Parts: sequence; structure tokens; C-alpha cells
Amino acid sequence: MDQPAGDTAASPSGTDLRFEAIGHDFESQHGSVQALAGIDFAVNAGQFVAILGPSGCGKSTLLLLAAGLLAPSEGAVVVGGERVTKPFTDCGFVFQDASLLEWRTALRNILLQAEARGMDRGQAEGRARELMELTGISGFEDAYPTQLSGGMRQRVALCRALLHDPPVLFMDEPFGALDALTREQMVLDTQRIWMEGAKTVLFVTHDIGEAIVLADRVVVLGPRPGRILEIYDIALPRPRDMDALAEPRSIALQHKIRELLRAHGVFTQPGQFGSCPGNEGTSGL
Amino acid sequence: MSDSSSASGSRPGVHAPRSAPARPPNRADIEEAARSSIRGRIGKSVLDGLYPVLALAAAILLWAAIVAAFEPPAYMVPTPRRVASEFLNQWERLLTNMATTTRVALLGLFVSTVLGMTLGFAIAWWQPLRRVLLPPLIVTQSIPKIALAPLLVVWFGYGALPKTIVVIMVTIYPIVIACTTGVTGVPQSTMTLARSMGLRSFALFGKILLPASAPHLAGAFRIAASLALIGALIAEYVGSSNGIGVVLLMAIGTQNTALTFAAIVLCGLVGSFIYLGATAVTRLATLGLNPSYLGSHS
Repeated sequence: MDQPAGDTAASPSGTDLRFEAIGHDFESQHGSVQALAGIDFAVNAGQFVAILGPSGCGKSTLLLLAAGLLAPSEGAVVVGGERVTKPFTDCGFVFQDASLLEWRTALRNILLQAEARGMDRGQAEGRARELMELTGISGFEDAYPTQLSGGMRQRVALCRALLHDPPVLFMDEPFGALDALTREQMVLDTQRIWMEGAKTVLFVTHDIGEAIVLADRVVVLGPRPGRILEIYDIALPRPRDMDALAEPRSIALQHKIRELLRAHGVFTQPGQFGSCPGNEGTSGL
Repeated sequence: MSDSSSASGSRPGVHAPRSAPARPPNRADIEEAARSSIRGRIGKSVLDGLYPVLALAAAILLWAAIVAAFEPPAYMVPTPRRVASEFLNQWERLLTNMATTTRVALLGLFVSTVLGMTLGFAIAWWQPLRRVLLPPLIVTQSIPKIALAPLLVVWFGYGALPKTIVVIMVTIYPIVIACTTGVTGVPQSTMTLARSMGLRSFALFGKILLPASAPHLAGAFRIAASLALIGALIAEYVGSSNGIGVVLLMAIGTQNTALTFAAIVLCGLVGSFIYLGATAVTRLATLGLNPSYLGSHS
């Protein structure tokens, strides 16, 4: 798993990102819990990297560390050649729950980003409308979040994350709460927008197919403590769609990733006692 | 089942919510909907307003009939006519004392709102303060205020100050809790988002925490408003030189039941007005902060 040193001559709209021997512990009632251990990998400028793993493996924690919203217990995060020591605000965030403010219209939700950063209101509004056009939600500027479908809410969240043209985009299971067809559309749209803007994207997911279709590189994390099991480079030509998953080499890769996760106790059959906590309850059935 | 959303999508995959109109709602639509709902509400409220008046009239008639039928002694149950004439005889005394009590209730409610919101948001925001202040707050909330009122009279005399303090003690708790509930109810992801944008302190408060707390505060303020007059009366019962509570005590002491009834009815009226006023203020303030509140709650 040797990594090429991050390409420091960053492309205009992306920046590189390095995790250097990250370990992270959480304090809980039962003492210290190790959430992440020995996380060491680099994301080149403009690269789309998916972090794939089962729930509870510390994927989301990794994003908080990258954004400087959490200080790692060990190691360091380096963004654009600089070590992250305080909240790194030159980024955009998209969460699974869209996190829209229900008392603001779609447009004003997007403009929250501009207000927080003291951007020029007129310019920001122009850009917000462009982004809404780009993501296919123009016409819904004045709709409140409760009037929008899950996919549209997620598009508003994406526009908000892109408003200030950040060099890094952090996406935390952004399509996890959507129905399968909407999710597929969102995957295609995300790829299109990324191909146009070439930002660095760190994309947390628990969906193997989503990771393969979207990412240049898939980092597979194992559970408790979260650690890197393997890193795969995805060389499929772009633009990709879900049919790319039917190609022989991507089928082989999906199989490999499943095997890898199975070997670490992620999938267990009835009767098999895996190391996955939560299975104990089913043994009496 | 045909898919109605297929006609509205300008691009594949962008499907309108089932309940939404084929055309996306614009500002004019939303404003029109708001206006018509308000118009409907006014028309309905005139009708709704008639029912309590009718109920009240029926109650007074029933009261008069019972007194006429059973002829209880006047010191137990006076006739409505005697109550009315007592009110007309003593209207000046009743109204000036009611005004004193109302002033105390409103002043207490105002201070309680300002103090309660300050305290509530401070507690919600700053963990150490929460640990220090919340337990004593809960303990004092559990002490009956009527047990504390005599002490306040000993300390501060028979004026407005101890009464105002009792009103504050009675009304502040729901307001504090509304603030902490509102702030702790903001999802973790929203807070992370705010931090990633660099939203801090006052901007964070004004753009996220306060509007998120607005619906909780609206409910709490209405509860506080309905408790304010009760607080003021408690304090006056314990010790005061004036106020409607004092009039009530004297009326009971002299077996002037008609005057007692008159004072009670007056308290009911003023209490209702305070509550209605609080509701109106709440609606205005909440709509300003959190327009999504419109229509979703009544």
C-alpha cells in the first residue's frame, strides 16, 4: 500500500490531502475506545476517493479529522502541504440527512454558506442559481425543505457545499437515505459535477457499487478499530454508470472487496459466529 | 397507477414530491396560501369566538336558575345580579387593584422571558454552567412558590418587588427549558456543518440556534403567560398592601361573597387577555424567525 507523495502542484480547483499515521480514541463510560488505528493514505489533488466500510468503523470520524473539527489522538492530517490544527473551513460538507434549515427556502439554505463567509450577496445568489440549474432543481428556489423530496433536499445540500467553490468536498454517506433509483441518479450527477469541477472529493459510503462507480480510488476500512484493509485503484473509463458494475473486472473487484470484508467478520451467515457485535442477539433464533 | 411526476420533471430522476403541484411553488403561491389560510382563520375565529360567549351566557343563566330554585344563603352563593351590582358599586376599587396585579404579572413575565432566555441559552451552550445552574433550578422549581413567598415578603416588604419575584419564579422554568430543548435539538450534522462554514457565536445563535428554538419558545411563552397571574395572586395572598388578591382576601374575610365572585370573574377576564396577547406576540415573533412554522402549527 505504498502511496505516491501527494501531488503538491495542485490543480486550480483541488488540493491534496494526506492522512499520516492517524489513530483516534474516544472517551466513553467504559474507558477509552479505539476508533481508528494506523490510517495512512494520500488523496491527490482533484482525486475522487471513496472510503468504504461497515457502520461503526470510523468512516465519519475520518472526515471530521480531515476537516479539523476533531483533533486526532495520534498522527496528523496534512491538507495542501499544511498540517491541520484548527477547523479547516475551506471545504464543503454534505451529510446523509441533508441538514437543511427548515425555516429557510432552498435558495436561502444555499446562501447560508455565503452569509457565514461574508461573501458578496449578489454574486453568491447568482452562483447559487447557476448551481441549482446545474443540479436540476431550478424553479424550487422558494420552496421550503418540507416541500422537497429526499433527492431534491440532497441536491440543495450539494449546492450549498459547492457555493464557495471549495477545493475539497467531504461527503458523508450523502445518498444513504435515498431510494435506490434516486440514488443512482445522484451518483451520475455527482460524477458529472465532479468531472466538470475536478475538486478533491472524500466520499464516505457503505455501498460497494457506489464506491466503484464514483471513485478513482477506494479505501476499504475494517471494523473496530477502523483500519485500512486495502486500497484499490479503479481504472474504469469515465463517465461510468451502474452498468460499469457488470464489467468483468469490476465484478472481480466487487467480489474481492466482499471477500475482504467477510474475512474481517462483516458478513456472517446464520450459524456462523462472526466477530461482528450485534450478532449475539440472533443466536437464540 | 400512473406516475404523475413524469410530466413535471425537466430532467430524468428529478421527481417532484407526490403532494407538490406539477409546477414548483413560487413565492407568490406560498404567500397566497398563507393569506388565504389567514383569511380562513379569521372567518373561522369569529365563529369560534361565538361559542364561548354562548357557553358563558348559558352558565350565567344556569347559575341564576340554581340560586332561584334552592335559595342558598347569600354569603354562600350570591345571585348574578348581586355580583353585577357589587361590581358596579366597587368598580374603581376592583379595577385599580386588578391593574396593580396585572402590572406585576406583566412585568414579571417580561423579566422572566428576558432572564429565562439568557439563562436558557447560556446553559444550553456552556456545559459547565449547565452543571452548576440546572440542578438548583430544578430544585427551586420543585419548591412550592407559596412556601417561598413569605420569606420574600420578610426581605422585600409589601410592595411590588416580592410579587414580581414570585411571578418570575413561577414562569421562568418553561422558558429556560424551551431554550435548552431547542439548542440540544439541533442535529449534530447541522452543528458540524455550521463549524465547517466558520459560523460562530452570534452568527451561529442568530442563524441557527434561535430560529431552531422558536417553536419551543412559542409554546413555553404561552404557558408562562397563563401562569403569570397565578404567581401574582399567590404573592398577594401571602402578604401585600394592594392588588386583586388583597381584595379577594378581604371580601372572603367579611363574607362578601358577591365581591369575591366579581373579583374572580375579573381575574378570569384579565388572564384570558394576557394569554391572547401572548399568543399574538408569539405568532408574530415566531413567524419572523421561523416562517416554516406557518401552517404547520396553529
